[in-house]
Amino acid sequence: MAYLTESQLRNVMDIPIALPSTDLHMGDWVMLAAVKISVPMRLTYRVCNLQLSACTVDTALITAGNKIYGNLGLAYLTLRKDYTSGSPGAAGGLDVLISNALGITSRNPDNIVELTTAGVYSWIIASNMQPSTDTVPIIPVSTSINFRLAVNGTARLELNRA
Amino acid sequence: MNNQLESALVIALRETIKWESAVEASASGTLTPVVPALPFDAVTYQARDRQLAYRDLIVSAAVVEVAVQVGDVWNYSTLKPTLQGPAPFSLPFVGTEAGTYSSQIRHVLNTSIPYDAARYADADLYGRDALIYEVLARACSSTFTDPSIPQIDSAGTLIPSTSIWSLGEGYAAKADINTALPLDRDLFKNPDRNLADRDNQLAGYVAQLAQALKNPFENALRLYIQVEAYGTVQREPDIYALTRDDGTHRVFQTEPALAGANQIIYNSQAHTLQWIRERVDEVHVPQIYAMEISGIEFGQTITTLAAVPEGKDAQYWRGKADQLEPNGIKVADTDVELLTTNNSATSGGYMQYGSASLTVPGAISFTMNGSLPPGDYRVSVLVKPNHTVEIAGAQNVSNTSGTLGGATFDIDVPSGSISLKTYLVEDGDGIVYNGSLYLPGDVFAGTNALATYTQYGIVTSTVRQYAINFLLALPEGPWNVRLEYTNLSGTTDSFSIKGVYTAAGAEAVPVIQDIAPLPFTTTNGNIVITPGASMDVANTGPFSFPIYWTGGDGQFHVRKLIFESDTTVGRYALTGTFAGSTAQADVTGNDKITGVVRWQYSSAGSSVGTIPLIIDYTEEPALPLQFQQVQVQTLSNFLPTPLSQNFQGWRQECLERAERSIAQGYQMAVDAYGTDLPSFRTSGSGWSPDATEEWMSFVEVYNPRVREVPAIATDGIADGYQYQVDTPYVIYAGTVFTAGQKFYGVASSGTSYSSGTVHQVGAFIKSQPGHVGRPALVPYGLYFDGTDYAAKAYYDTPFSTPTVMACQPWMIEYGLYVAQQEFWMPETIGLTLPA
Amino acid sequence: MNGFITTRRYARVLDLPISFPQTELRAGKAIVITQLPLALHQRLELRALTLVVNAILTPGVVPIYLNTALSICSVGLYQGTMLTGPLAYTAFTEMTSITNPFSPCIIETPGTYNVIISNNTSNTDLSLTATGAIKLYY
Repeated sequence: MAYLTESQLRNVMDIPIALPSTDLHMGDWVMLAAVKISVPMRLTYRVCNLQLSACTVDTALITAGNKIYGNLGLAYLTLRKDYTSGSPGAAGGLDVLISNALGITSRNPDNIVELTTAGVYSWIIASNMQPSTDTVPIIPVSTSINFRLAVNGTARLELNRA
Repeated sequence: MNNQLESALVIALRETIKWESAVEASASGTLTPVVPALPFDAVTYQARDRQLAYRDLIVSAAVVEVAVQVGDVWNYSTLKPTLQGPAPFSLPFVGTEAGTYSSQIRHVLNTSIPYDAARYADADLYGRDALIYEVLARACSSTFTDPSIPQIDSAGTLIPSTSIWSLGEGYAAKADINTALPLDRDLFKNPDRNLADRDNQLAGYVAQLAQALKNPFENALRLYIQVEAYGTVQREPDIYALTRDDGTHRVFQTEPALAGANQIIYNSQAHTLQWIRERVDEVHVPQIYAMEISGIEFGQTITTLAAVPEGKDAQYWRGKADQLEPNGIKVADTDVELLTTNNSATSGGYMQYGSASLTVPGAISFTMNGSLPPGDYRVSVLVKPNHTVEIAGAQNVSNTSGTLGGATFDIDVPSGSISLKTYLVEDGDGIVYNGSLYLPGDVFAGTNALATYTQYGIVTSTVRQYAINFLLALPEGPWNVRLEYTNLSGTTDSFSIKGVYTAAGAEAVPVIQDIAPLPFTTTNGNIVITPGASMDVANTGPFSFPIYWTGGDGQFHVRKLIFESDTTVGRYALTGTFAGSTAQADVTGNDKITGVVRWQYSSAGSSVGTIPLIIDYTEEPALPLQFQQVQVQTLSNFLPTPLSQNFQGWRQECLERAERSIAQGYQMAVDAYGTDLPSFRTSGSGWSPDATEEWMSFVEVYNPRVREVPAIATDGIADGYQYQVDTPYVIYAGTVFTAGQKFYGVASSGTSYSSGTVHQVGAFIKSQPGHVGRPALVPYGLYFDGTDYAAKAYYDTPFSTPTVMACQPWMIEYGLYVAQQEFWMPETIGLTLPA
Repeated sequence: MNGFITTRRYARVLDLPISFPQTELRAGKAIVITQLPLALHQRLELRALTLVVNAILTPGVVPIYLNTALSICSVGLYQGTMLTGPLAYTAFTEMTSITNPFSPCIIETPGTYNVIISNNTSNTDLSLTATGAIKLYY
């Protein structure tokens, strides 16, 4: 474990993954942050918080039929490599933070994602809601399940991973 | 090199040259004399032997001194004896004391007299010491640029170089001349044999050291290498450190330590040297080792300097930065530029004080000279939105010029000098001009067709100029106008001045009404400003603004018209036409905040000669825009250095090292000047372009290669500065330097050069509009005051340390210097121009 | 600058965020993402600023450039408001572009600096994301 010098500290910066309180409509997604890295950079992702502060419906009424992906909760924040378009919940993501209820969901900072392969890494917050596919939907299919949410996190970018 | 006591190489060496009974000898090099006529005195002979023993210690110290220099230069520890006490390393020498220089010793025989010990054996021992020392000094002199020990026979006429060494019956007898012992042969010979033995040890050390000096590559841990071609240094001396030694190949590497590149490889089997530079497209053929060998290109030499590496300056780091090319888009300066626009290169727009401008939408054209290579182009223009429009007096449409850019009204105009101006008749009975009579007080318009007039009546009238007219366009809205004027000749106590605004097709509106004379109570030549006068500009079309000198004596001179509005924000839609195509820019600007407008074009092929840039300002008419400088740059792709992905920080590293060397030199200059430190600020904390140049001159005191200065005056060569030839050749101090060659100014060679032009070499160059965002050298504490709209320096000289930071548009206006292109990196990572 | 960092020094080195989550930026519009006032003795360093074009919201339209030198959109660090004179910038040429982190933009002159993202077309709406960090030494 070496001491940290000032010139090394210059090569390290904390990239924000931030979304101010925003209304996210049913099924929609928004890119929060993106970083393009190349050799010999390293991106380390540890900390992120997803706050679901409000919903246009009572979350207790949300069933599995309302979820686009059964395991991705109400809303999820995913980290993907070289994302251009398409559903952010598709296979191939690098990390996901899932919110299953109103309140704050925090990522386990001991689960470190270390990225060194060149490419563009983006964080996308997505609503996992859809009109219910249940035979007898509890929430009418014409109702849009919208969330008010905020995201706050950071990724550490080191320009020289040596 | 031979004849360096090679036969002494076989002598087994002891670690220490012992002090024994040595006594400090005379500094002149003479031994205690023996007078044969006097009775035998053993003490005298004893003293001589002890002094010879001391001279051995001096030679020993010289061996240590040279060994230390080998360590300093080649960075490895070589063979050296241990000294048992301090001794100087410079051997004093008196030729008459020496006997032979063949290393033999004529020892005393049984048939000898005591004096023979002095005149033969001692003399030969003296000669041996001198021989050993001189062999070492010559080896040192021919190897090092700054030899550590002086020679005693630099002409080589006295002491020969030889490979032969006689052992001289040397034997470590540790004997001394003792008066208690019998006076026989051994009394004298044994001490001499001991001295011979000490000489043998020294000869052995010198022989070993001379071998090491012949081929430093065998043992060196560091090499100091320079690459030259045709008398010019292509690569300044670099330190190569030993990184690998597998018994056959000794690999030395320099920065940037690219894999398998930037190396010097010494093959200890074949005794060859090979240079591998950062590009491996051309291979260097290994050369038999020497301090100077051929390089890769024709005429190129690779020189190993036997010197201690010296401190590096910014220009060195510029060369090092250039040795690694990153991947991406390269922006390069061209010679197509306008450093100022208030000249004939501009047409269109309205010329303001100091720069061209477009006050309302319209077109302006800049004609530049130079050569443009094929490629994509970036055209950058330094602009400043300014609601203060300053029109020089001479910018009138009445053919009137004057001192310092103003307009001087003609007075006492004689017949024969009437031209296309408006005149007033004064005094007398009047004049007749072009068939019409004009009485005193009448105004008439002159024509170029008729320059003469005649006097009417008896009393002579005088004619003077009455008005000058200005043509201008301004954005619609309220404006305030003032006039800077003065009296240039004669005496007057007031002027009556009138200014009128006449929009096209409209009635004239008095703006400056000559209701009462304006007092003039100051000295002729001092500027007076009229009180502000309001006017309302009706539209953006050109309007006429004549200034009338309606009353007052003397000679009226208008220096400047100043129009001012309250507008603070403007939007500029500008179409630029260059190299056969057009590009757009649509930007907003704030009053008096300098900015850069940039267009980008695709290549239309190369062009040489006059190259125009036409700017069409289409929207919006609110805030006049000044155009101060124009620069054209080309865009191309870098040719990346192979295997350099992990060295992307190299150019930035070189820039930081350059900054550190400049800051250190600046601090040295501050310390050296002490209480005589010059100040560059004006009126407290004000800064100006002149202050920038003066501050740079101060930075140069210990950093002569910081600033590039073009077109040095023919008597402007300064000691310690480096210059490069721009024309086919120049002559300095009798030496001809051809195009591209560099030379240093030397005090003894004078300050003059001839037959061409040179520029001063430096790592930083005057900033231009295309340099916005590039690293600039800025005095610490300099800032742009948003209240006074001027640059100010918070600190005076002691704390205005040169600091490298991004160049902002106002810094370009104030003439700050930016790092040269070799330090620049691509703006966006990983991008290249499409083929 | 090569000395070891003490905890006291470390406490005075901060990373200021430049965060512009995916937002629709209409044609010809520019938004100030953040404004940074800098005082004497402070230092700003911008190293990484990434621009992503998430979507072109008016497909099929040939963009009419307002600023040819800045492509269809750009994000940069400015001292004034003139978009064509950035101290550091990146412009669209492929979906994601980033300023060169190995060539930091260093500012030590007191003043106010803006990070501005702009849509440089007059007829194309874009959905953009910009992310970065500025190191502040104070």
